[in-house]
Amino acid sequence: MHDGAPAPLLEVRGLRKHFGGVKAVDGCDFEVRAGEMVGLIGPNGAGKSTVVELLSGLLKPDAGTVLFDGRAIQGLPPHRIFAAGLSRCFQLAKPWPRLSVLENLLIAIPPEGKDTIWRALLTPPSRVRAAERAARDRALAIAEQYRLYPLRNDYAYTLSGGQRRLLEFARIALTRPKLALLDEPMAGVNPVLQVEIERGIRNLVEDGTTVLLIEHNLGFVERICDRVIVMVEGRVAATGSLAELRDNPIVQDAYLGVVGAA
Amino acid sequence: MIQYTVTVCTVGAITAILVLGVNVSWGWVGQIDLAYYAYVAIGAYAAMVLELPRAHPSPTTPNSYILGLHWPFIPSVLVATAVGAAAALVVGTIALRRLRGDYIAIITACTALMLTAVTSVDNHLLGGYIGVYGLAEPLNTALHLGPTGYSYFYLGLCIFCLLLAYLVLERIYKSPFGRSLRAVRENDTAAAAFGRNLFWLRLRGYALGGAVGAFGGALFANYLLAWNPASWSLTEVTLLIAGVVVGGQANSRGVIIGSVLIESALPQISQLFPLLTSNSTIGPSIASILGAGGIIVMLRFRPGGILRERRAIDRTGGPESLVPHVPAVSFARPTTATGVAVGTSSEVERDA
Ligand SMILES: Nc1ncnc2c1ncn2[C@@H]1O[C@H](COP(=O)(O)OP(=O)(O)OP(=O)(O)O)[C@@H](O)[C@H]1O
Ligand SMILES: [Mg+2]
Repeated sequence: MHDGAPAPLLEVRGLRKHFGGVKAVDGCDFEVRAGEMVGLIGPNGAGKSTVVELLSGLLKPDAGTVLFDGRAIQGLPPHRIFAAGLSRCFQLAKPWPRLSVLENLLIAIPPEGKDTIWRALLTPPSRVRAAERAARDRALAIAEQYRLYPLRNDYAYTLSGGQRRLLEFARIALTRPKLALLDEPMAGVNPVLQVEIERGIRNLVEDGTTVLLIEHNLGFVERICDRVIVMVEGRVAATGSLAELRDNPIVQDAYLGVVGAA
Repeated sequence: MIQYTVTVCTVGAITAILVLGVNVSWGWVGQIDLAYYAYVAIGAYAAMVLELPRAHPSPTTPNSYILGLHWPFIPSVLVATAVGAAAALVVGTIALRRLRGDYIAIITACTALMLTAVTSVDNHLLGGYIGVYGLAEPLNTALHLGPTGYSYFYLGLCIFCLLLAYLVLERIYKSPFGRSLRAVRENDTAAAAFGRNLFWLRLRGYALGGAVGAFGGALFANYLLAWNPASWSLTEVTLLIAGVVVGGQANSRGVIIGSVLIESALPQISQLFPLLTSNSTIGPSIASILGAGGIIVMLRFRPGGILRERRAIDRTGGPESLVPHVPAVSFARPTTATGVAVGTSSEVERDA
């Protein structure tokens, strides 16, 4: 660590996850500093999504350490990691299908231990209504921002693929995490709404959230990310600004000219 | 005839309470609980053991092994409910550790069988196969009602308890806890990623179901004034689940309707069949066939049940800050509530 530099918010060391013979993540090291907006790029199957699964606790790593906000979080259950301030969206959107869009958003607001039977029974109705109204207002404001407002009463399973991605991102925006892991939040969203999500990501950063963004559109990555981590075959192949990395042979090799085209 | 109707209604109200409990573990949490009737039995036995007086050492009252606590009705029912919840916590801790549905079904079924075996043994607390009996009509020492008056009173009490259970469960269902449970049911991976402790939520939901079952069981025992191992089996659980399927999973009003149809109306209707044929034993068989057939038809043609699960509907024009502006691009499909400020309150509404 350099003198004066703050400790990183996220520090990943030697992270490893194999699926049988597939070395999905194979000794991955990187760090993300607070307030940064970092891109995580790499070819299909490089292990980016697996890293997100490992960091968020949905998969247990075979080896390696993850320090988040000064605490070792590798192997912790996902709800503990979420409570520590790390939230993630899914590459394949995972809404709660038979709940309304509004309910999907309400669930994304961190429960902070308030979802108990005793509270449900003992809180006076006026307090229940006030809390519910506050939560709804927050959820509806976000719904409006991501053009989900007209769909708020629809079952989530009726949403289109692009709308699901919007819901996915809207849920993250509601959690106000310290670190958001965004796994291709734009994929399948139309260009106008991509702009909306881009603004959403910038808003997250302005509100103090650190962002790790997985994205295949390098033009977009270049526009919004301070720094890029390139993953190839389960390892970090290079880091730096995208402009620096364009000339890096590893990156060029991995992207087979995609960089040049972007 | 009136007395008969009162009996059917009383048992119907108690059964509806039991179905509400099944609906918690199956409709809300999404887990098949084959041990459910064990919690009903635990509630029944607990209430009996607490309420029975010390028996006289006479041959007509073999319950000399009873603790003889002679507790009044209300605290006994409350403690019985708590005992059911505690039992469900213990079973749930084992059954819900691994989150596979078949694992849970097997563990709960084994638990139920074990408890039947344990209570059937002629032990000195629960009376083995004979069971516990000899309870005086609860509350009647104070009320001094005649047999008819008392049956009306107990029917009223059961309906009151059903209403109470319904209101309490509705409140929990709409609360953040209920919402978390449904999120776990709908997609547990996403629920975990959004901070839900899957095991703990499922366990609490399971214990809530067990508590409702024990509450119903305690009321049942106080109605029958006796309870024995033959009073409960997997068949009864199946019928309760049928009530949930037909009525509408996770919809409390729906499952009450389902329970009335499957468990009260159907047996009554099927009793008419022996009148039409010479076979006097055909009634229960017809009831089973119609009940099972009803489940299959329901699952095939209306999997949501008679009343579908309700979802939160927002009827407000949105928060004050949302001055309506026309979105540049809108994916909006016409929805009934779009932009129409019908009322000032948001509410949970039945899906049309
Ligand atoms: N649950 C799993 N079981 C077996 N193999 C898996 C599993 N998840 C991922 N893999 C494998 O691990 C490798 C990395 O997958 P991962 O999803 O992390 O790639 P990615 O970098 O996110 O790719 P993409 O850009 O296409 O999303 C792939 O070869 C994939 O087949
Ligand atoms: Mg991926």
